[in-house]
Amino acid sequence: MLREKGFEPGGQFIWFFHRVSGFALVILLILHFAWVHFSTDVTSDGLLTFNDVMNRLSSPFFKAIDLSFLVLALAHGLMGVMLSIQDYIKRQGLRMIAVGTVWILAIVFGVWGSVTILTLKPHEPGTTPEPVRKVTGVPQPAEENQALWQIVEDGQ
Amino acid sequence: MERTFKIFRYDPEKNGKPHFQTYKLDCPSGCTVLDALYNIKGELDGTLTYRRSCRSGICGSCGMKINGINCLACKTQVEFLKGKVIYVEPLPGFPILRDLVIDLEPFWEKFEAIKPYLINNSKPPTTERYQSEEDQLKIEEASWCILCNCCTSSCPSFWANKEYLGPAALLKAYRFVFDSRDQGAEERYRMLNTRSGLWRCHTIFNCMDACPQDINITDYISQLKTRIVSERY
Amino acid sequence: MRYRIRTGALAFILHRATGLALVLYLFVHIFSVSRLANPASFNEEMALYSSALFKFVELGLLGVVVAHVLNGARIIAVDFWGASRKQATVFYVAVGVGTLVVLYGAIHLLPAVFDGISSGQLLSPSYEVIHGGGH
Ligand code: HEM
Ligand code: HEM
Ligand code: SF4
Ligand code: FES
Repeated sequence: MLREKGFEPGGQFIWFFHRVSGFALVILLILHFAWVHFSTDVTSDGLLTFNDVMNRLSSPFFKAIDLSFLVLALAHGLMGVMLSIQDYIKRQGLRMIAVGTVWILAIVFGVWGSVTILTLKPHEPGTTPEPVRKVTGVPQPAEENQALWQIVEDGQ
Repeated sequence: MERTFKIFRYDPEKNGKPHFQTYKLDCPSGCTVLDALYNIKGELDGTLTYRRSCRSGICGSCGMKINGINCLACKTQVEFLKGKVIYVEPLPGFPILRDLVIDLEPFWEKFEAIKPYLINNSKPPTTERYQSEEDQLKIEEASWCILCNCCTSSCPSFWANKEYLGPAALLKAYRFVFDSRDQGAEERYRMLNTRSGLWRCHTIFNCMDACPQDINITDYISQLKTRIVSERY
Repeated sequence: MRYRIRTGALAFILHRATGLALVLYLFVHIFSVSRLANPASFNEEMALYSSALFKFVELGLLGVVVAHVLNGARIIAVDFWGASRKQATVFYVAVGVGTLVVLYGAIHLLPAVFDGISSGQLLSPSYEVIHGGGH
């Protein structure tokens, strides 16, 4: 008869979560794109800068949205990796290693991303705002660009 | 019209290696692939081995992979097959016994696992167990299955994981779980709601493309999933 | 002969490949967002992303996201709205909508890419940030 091992219960949660989080992620992803590409902060000067991000993320509300986006995207994606593991890795030992790795990745990147959002500090006074200039014109020699770049970085 | 057949051959008893053998054959209009196999066996090569019985699409014996898609040989007409060469192979994902004949034991095993019979512990009435027309319609299409194994053997999830119950068994599970006269749902969930059950289905649709009965298999599997999930969450 | 890949199987392969690719992207993304801790370094990075090569990569990313999202919607439609019989049509509609979105992205992103190619400067930023300056 059938080997019992393959018939471990479970699996319904991943299926359910993929659909629910997928639904939520559509909305969050559209908002994310609107914010990082189409907000006036960005479109007025063409570049997304630290200040543009801070304008929004200094509010706890937006921080909460960002955190839930992080958690949902990470959980959704890594559960997808779990699904693939269940599909393709059949050796018990190998499977345990793979599942363990996914958990470690989930914790490492979950904590790392949350810390980034939670510990955001506004610009030090005197260093804002940050005007953005379009680098225009005909091809510039690489050195010249390099020099410009240097100034920009050292600037204040 | 003359057509070329490349047919999968394998005879373990003669230490044969799996290979394709080419036959050329005149196929009149209306000739099915099964007719062609009959002719090859009768006139060209008596050693060719395949399963068939009804030759009219009802017994489910003649499932095979024809030009890369699982189907019934007796329901597939040669004139509608594109390409110069017609490839005929056994259903994939199962042990091959000889030529086009596969070992169906793993298929029946999965089938048995979901208890493909009515479970009802109440006292049998003196008449039949009646059911409303509406209730019957829920399971009618799912009862058309002729157990040809075209679907399970076409499923990439099954190829990757031979413990997966597969679409045919899941469809049969639907047929009983959604039968108003049946009380065995919980028992079946113990097999369905597992790592080798429902959740290996990723809506790939190979099963529906292969099914000679044109059953809406994926939809029934999805209904099982949603029912289990809505009962738990 | 290989088993023929039809619409459903193609959609599945794409969904899995794009999903796994997005997970890898997310890891890299969490790293790059972590540079917000240092404003100058974050701005430098964003400026780098305005270079031709990264604009091109961004277009690819858009394609991957759009493919996964739209096919995700197709899967949900199959599961909950009985779209199973119409899955192939839904797939082609998704391809159509996806193409439009990616085209829209291309209109915004490709000019910078072509500039970069014609000037041979694939990695030089097309914007710069002047820290500490005034508006
Ligand atoms: C934004 C809208 C999204 C929607 C609607 C969506 C939808 C889905 C759905 C329905 C599944 C289940 C597939 C199945 O059961 O076979 C899935 C799987 C998956 N998703 Fe998403 N997803 C979205 C975003 C993402 C993101 C942002 C990531 C990566 C971080 C991601 C990574 C994955 C992975 C790796 C899988 C598993 C692939 C598989 O099982 O074939 N998804 N997605
Ligand atoms: C090129 C397109 C993208 C740009 C320029 C971009 C930019 C950013 C920026 C600036 C942040 C910082 C927080 C904020 O502004 O809200 C951020 C955070 C985030 N982004 Fe994106 N993003 C892009 C695409 C994506 C995609 C496709 C995904 C989904 C897989 C994604 C997922 C996230 C997540 C989860 C966070 C929170 C990260 C954390 O907490 O560390 N982003 N993104
Ligand atoms: S569901 Fe269709 S393909 Fe599958 S065994 Fe039944 S008749 Fe054959
Ligand atoms: S011979 Fe009976 S189904 Fe083809």
